[in-house]
Amino acid sequence: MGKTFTRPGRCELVRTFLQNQHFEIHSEATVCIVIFSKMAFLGLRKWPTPFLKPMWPFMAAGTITFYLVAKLQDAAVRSPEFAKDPRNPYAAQIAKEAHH
Amino acid sequence: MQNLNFIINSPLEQFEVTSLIGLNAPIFGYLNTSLTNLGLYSLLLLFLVVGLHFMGNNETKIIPNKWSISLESSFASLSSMVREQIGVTNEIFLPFIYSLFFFVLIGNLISNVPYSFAITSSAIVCLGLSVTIFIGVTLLALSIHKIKFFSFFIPSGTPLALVPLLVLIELVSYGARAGSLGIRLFANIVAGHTLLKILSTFLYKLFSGNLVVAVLTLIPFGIFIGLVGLELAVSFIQSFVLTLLVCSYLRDAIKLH
Repeated sequence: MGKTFTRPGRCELVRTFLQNQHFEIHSEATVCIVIFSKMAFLGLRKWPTPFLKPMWPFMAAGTITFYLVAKLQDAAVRSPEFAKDPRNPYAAQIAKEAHH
Repeated sequence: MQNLNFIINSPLEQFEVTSLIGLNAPIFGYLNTSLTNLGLYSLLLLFLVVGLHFMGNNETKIIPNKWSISLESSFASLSSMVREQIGVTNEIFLPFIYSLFFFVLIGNLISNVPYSFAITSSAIVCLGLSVTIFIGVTLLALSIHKIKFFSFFIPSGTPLALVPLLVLIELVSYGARAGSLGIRLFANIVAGHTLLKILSTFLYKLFSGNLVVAVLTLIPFGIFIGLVGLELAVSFIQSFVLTLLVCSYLRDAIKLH
């Protein structure tokens, strides 16, 4: 188990620490959870928390919103009011498509 | 010429999204990629939020620094808000609420720096955010309660004859959440910044006049400074209100009534 970590012997250190603190070690997983909670992410302590479970509806919603905004943008740049506007970066493409 | 002068001095000019670097290429159909001021300030916001949390990192120190204390205090407030509003068993939403709060707060605070750009004054940012939250909350409610979710539109104890009317009213009220959340933030920021721009232009004109007028202008200038403080307060209040409402919507989605 210790081989998977960059610093060998870390499991043993944590095990000793837990035993000294009178923690009951049920399995190897207890030691690993402690190690994982101490693992650094860009120099910060990582606090494991569910990510997908609370966030999936908002990720799906973000995708839907992105699609709706893209459709809205497409409709807006092709609208007669802005299709020939010099500020419209798609004006050349729209004019080209209109010729075909 | 007069019309052009009006456009340049318009107090709404500060909200204009302009392209800073652009790429137009006939690849993937027609590719147009631009880094706008909105995009630049969004990146700045990201770096500031991450940087703030690095500065507030208290991993190796026994005595926390002031950044750390302020962040821990914000975390405690948001955590208690989530526990009170959504419930102790739904603390998994805390990272989402925390991120949302800091996104809006830092976005609002950056905009108070003179000559900067307010990303929360952009309708597409605010409405995109509120529509995403609205759809997300509805998806969450549908996934938890399935078909029973629609009972949300019938308040308990409604006489049968009134059900069609009340369902319609409740549906409109529920749908209004999609817009109201974003419009509240966007309108507050736009109104505040426009007011400050108009007043500062006026004060500049007064200060540029003769000495007596310039000295007398210190009185309205004091009021103006007060308004700047009010704008800072609005930044905090609006981010808090937004997160509080999102918590309330999440509670409705999880508990229905």
